[in-house]
Order: sequence, then C-alpha cells, then structure tokens
Amino acid sequence: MTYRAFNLHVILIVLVLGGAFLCFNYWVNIYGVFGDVSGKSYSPLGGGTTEYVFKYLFSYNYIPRNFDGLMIGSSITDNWDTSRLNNVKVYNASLNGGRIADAKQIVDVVLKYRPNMLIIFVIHPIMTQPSSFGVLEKGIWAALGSLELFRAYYLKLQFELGFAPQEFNSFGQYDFPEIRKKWNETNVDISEGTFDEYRLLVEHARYSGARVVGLISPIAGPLFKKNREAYRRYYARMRRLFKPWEPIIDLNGPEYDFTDGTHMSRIGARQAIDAVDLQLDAWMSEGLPMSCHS
Amino acid sequence: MFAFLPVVVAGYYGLCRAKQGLLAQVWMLLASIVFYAWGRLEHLVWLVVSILLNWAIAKIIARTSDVSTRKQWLVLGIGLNICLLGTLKYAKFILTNLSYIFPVPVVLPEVWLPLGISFFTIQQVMFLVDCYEGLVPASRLFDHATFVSFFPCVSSGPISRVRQLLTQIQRTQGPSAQTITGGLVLFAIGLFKKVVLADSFAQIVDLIFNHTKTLSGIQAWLATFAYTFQIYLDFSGYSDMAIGIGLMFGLVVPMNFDAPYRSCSIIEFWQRWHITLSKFITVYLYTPMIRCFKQVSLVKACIVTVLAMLIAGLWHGPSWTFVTFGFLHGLALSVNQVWRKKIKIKMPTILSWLVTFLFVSIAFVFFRSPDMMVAFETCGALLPHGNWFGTELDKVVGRYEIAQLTVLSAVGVLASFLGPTSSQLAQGLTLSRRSALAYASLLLVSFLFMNSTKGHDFIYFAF
Repeated sequence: MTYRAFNLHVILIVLVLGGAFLCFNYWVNIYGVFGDVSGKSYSPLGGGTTEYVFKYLFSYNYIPRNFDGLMIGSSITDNWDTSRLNNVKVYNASLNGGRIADAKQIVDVVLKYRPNMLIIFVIHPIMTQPSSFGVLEKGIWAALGSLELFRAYYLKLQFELGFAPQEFNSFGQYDFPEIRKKWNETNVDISEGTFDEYRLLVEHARYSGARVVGLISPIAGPLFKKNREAYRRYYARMRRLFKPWEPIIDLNGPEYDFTDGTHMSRIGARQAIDAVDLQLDAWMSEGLPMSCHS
Repeated sequence: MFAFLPVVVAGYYGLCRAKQGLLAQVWMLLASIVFYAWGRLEHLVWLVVSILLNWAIAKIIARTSDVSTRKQWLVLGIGLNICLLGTLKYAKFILTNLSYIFPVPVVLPEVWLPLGISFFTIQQVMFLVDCYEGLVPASRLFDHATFVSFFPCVSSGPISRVRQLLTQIQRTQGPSAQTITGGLVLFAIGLFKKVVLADSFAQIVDLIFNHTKTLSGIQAWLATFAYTFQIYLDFSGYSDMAIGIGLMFGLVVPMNFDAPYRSCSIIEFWQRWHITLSKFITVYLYTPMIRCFKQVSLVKACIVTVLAMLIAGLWHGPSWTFVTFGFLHGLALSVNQVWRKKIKIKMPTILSWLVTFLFVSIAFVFFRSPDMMVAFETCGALLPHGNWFGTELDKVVGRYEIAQLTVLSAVGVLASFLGPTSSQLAQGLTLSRRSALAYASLLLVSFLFMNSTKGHDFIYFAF
C-alpha cells in the first residue's frame, strides 16, 4: 500500500463509518430531536445525569411539539404523573438531583421553540441550592454521536432485554419504586446566586410570553414544624418573584394533609398532582391569565 | 477544527502543487491569523505588536556592527518582551504581593491573557539572541510573522527556533504523501490522548481537587497520580497534534516528549519532558547565568539550576504554586547533580524510577492546585492520617462512569509506562488496511468524546 492510498483509506473510513453512525443515530432518534415527532411517545431512561440529558434533548423537539406545559422541579416532584392533569398537557421536566440551573437549560430551549407554554415553577428550597449537572454544551449535536448517546443505547438495550424496568413515562414522570428517603433535611437558606437565577428564569419565561404558575410542593410535617419560620421566610421571598396575576398553588396549606416524607409515595404523588389539577382547572375555567407581555 | 484544518491543509497542498510557494506561505499566514483571532480578536493586537517589535529590533541588531550597541539593542529587546509578558501576565500577581508589604489597594483592569503569549515570547527572545549571536539573519517581516504565528505551535508550542522552522517554511516543496501520513497518524494519536485519555483523568482530578478539605489518603494519592497522567497525556497529546499538523504542511516541528515517566532520574526527566522548554532553559537561561561566574563549582551550578527552574516555574503562571513547582524541580535537579558527581552511589533502576516518579507526581500537586492552601491540604492528605481509606467517589459518580474511567485510565497508564511513544508509532507504521482502520477508529472515537460533555481545554492553553 502506498502512502497516498493509506491517507485515502483513513479519510474514507472516517467519512463512511462516521457517516453511517450519524445516519443510524438520526434514524433511531432516541431523543426525539429529529423530524416531526408529534403524537409520538418518548420516555427518558436512567436517573441522574442521564435523565437530565434526555429531558434536555427532549426540550428541542419532543416537548414543544407534544405538550402545552412544562413543570420544572427536583426529585421532590419527579414522580408526579402530569398525565393526570385534565385540561392541559404538561411535561414533567423535574430532575432527580436537579436545581434551577438545570431547569433553566430546559426552559430556555423549550421557550425558543414554543414561547407560549404554561410553565409550572416548583418552589422548594432544594431548587435554589447551588449545584447542577453542568451543561450539555454540544446541545442537539450530542444526539448524533456522544458518550451520552451510548449510555442511552446501553440503557435502552437493558430495558428491551428485560434487565431493567422502565421507570419513566412519556410525560417525564419518574416512578420511584418506593419512598427512598424519609426525612431528608434540606438547607432552607437561599443562596443569592441561585435565587437570582430563579428570578431571571421566571422573568425570562414571562417576557417570552409563557403563562407562569408557581407551585409550592408539600414539605413533610416534621421538617416543616422543625423549621417553620425558615420555611415561611423562604416561601414569602419566593412568592415575590411571581406577579399578582400569576397563580401560586400552595400544597402546604391547611386544606391539605400529605403525610409522606421528603419524596412522596405513589399515593401521595397522585394526591398532590390531583390537587394541582383541581387548582389549574379552576383557573383555566376562569381563563388563566396570559403574561401581560405576551 | 473539523472544517478549518482540512480546508487549510488542502489549500496549502494545492498551492504547493501548483508551485505557488509564496502564495502557499501567504495562505499559511492568513490561516494562522484567522486561528489566532478566532477566540478573541483583540489578542491579535498583542501578537502583531510582539512580531513588529522583535522584527524591528532584530533588523537593527543585524545592521549594527558595534558589539556593545548590538548588546544594548538585545538587552532592550529582551527587556521589552519581558515587559510585555510581565504587564499582561504578572502585573496583578506582583502588585497583589506588594500590597501585602505596602498596604495599598490594588485595582487593575481585567486583561484577557493573549493566547500563547508565554510561548511566542520565548520564541521571540530566542530569535533575538540567535540574531545577536549571528546564528540566523534578521528575516523579512513576512517570514518572521509566518514563523511566530504558525498556528499549530502558537498557542502551546512546541517552542521552535527560527532556524529550525523558518528555513523549512522558505524551502518547502509542500507536503508529500509520506509526511501527510505521518501527520495524520500523529494527529490521530494526539487527539485520542487528549480527548479520550487525558479528559478521563481530568474527571477524577476535578472531582477530588474540589474536595481537598476532606480528602482521605487514598483519594489524595488517586488525585495526585491521575493528574500526573492527565497533564502528560494532555500536553503530549497537544504536542503530537501540533507536530502532526506541521507534517501535514511538510514541516518538521521539534519533538516535545519522549516517554518522560520512564525516567530514572530527575535530570533524565527534564530531558524527556517538555523538551523544547528544557532546551530553552538550558541554552538561554542556565548557560548565560553560569557564564557570569569566572569559575564554575558544583555549588554555583546548583544555585543557578534552582534560579533557572524558579524562572521556568514562574513562566507557567503568576502564582506561588508554579514558583514552588519550579523551586522543587530546581532543588531536585541540584540534588541529582550532587548525587551524580559527589555521592556516586548507584541505586537499583526500579528504585530510582520509583523515587523519580513519586517526586514528579507530588510536585505536580503544586502545579494543579489553585493556591498554596489546596496544595498543602492535598500534600497533607498524602501522609498517613486518620482518614486513610475513606472514599465517597461512588456516591458522586455512577457505576457506569467508574467502569468507563477505570478502563480509560488503565489504557492511559499502560500507554505512558509501557507502550511505544507517538513518534515511534508514526515511524514504525505499517501501511495496511488494518492500520488505516485503526487510525481512522482513533479519530472516530476521539470525535465521539469531543462531542460529549466531558471535554476540557488543553491545560497549557492557560499559559
């Protein structure tokens, strides 16, 4: 073989194998980022960073094409089944271990493609803690070939072969097998940096024309009693991020009695989402106000 | 990179084939300017200032016959280069440290460090000294700009001397199929070393160095060794890519690494590690300093070695951690010299290798740490203490990631200790479909890693 032939071989192999790999990934479309995916169902696989990658990449195409609303939160609301909401089709973009910085990435992309979404902002101290999964810098390109994609194929294979259960539904609900941590202490102090991130995200959604809803998720009774004042201060400050016409659903009110721990049981999560449904129904029937900027 | 490199190489190849040598050099210069200005356009100003300044001083030195006047111009030129580097890179460090002695508040405008300023300043100093000593003529502005801004080397070396590179640029007939093959192979190996191996080590290193206050012994050693491999694979990977791209232009760029972790002494280590910088330290720092003494003794040689290495340490960055890194290596080199010349006891090879490797690894703790506090915390955790075996890595990183990192780290460690070097692989290449497939696979796997979340900048881009 001559040097020239060797060089051509290397270049051709890269182009042919690389091209074939890209085409295969485009065809499998595991993240639903390519083509018209209206009416199709895609479910995340795996927890932690993998869930984040799935939900982030879903925000490019799958969520804007199939949903009218988005709920952002942490593991606290990750197991809430938003398919139970009757009047609006909401995707649960909550992330196990997620913070506002992670939610921001999803909201930013969704609003780019569907600015008039209903965005439910879960208000919980864990959301304003300063950490994140980082940024999937390559964005949509990661769906064409990346380590994250390999991880997704690996999980898909495990699921298809019956080695692992499918824990997510196509609405993004992560169906925990059971309550994993009973009374998990959460730092209620607000980190100023993340508070600002939260504020800017609410403002960004509002100015993009989205309908903004706040949702104060239930705090386990013993935790709430232990830190009553701190929680009250926290919620008072967070409530001020929302305009008077933007509804805030407070599931810590006296009319609710959730007896679960930090993460809710299946029954608790069902009760919580049904309570949200009732409130949204009421507002919808009155005509949920659009953003004044829309 | 995916578009830039093939377009530039193809354009250069085409112009050389059409016997348009001058146009090919213009093309190369334009490519270098675009590459340099890509990140921040204003960086280009500093590069242009440096090129014009040094070219003008070199011209004056070449035209002047009086030795003392030539020397004055040389001193002025070196001084101006040091001023440029000092103002942009070290002003804040110096003033902050002075403010501890003279408590005056220091407010300096935030200046973005021009890409590769430490590297091209060294090349300019070498150019001036070579002109002064009559080793090279003062080149045309066009040639000098092409040499200094040559894009594969401008950001992180390898540091080339004018006579090594410029002569080739002026005389090149363009790349041949053989040099392109060598370039492709080295580029593929370098890219793989950087994005697959070094960045895998980087994940371990970043994770542990972010929690130095609660490090267990095992974590501290893991971080220390992981960084030792990360920096080698990162920087030697970059150098392989630079040499590879050079070959694609038909130019031979000097080698920068030669399996340094197989060294059995610290002197040998510096003969194999960042070879072009080591040569600069020896020829342009150590030798002139030692010449200042009328009689050279071992003690004087040791003092000069420590001084030269202190400067080399500081060259890496405006921080006491780099100064300490340089000082430790200077000290170790001096001990090595004394050992060779006075003590003369031959240690078993395995023991001398182990001592060298351990020293190099621990010195790199200072290189990696953001400040002296973190460095001392990490070094403290290396010593036996209460928390020896504790590790919480499995709580932060998933099993899948741990498995992936373990496999890639093992490949990195084996390649550093046992495998053939990149240049050996390129020279011993068998032209076959199988090897074409192997190198194409290296490229494809590297592209896959590049398109993932785990990417890190080249470590030496910060210098």
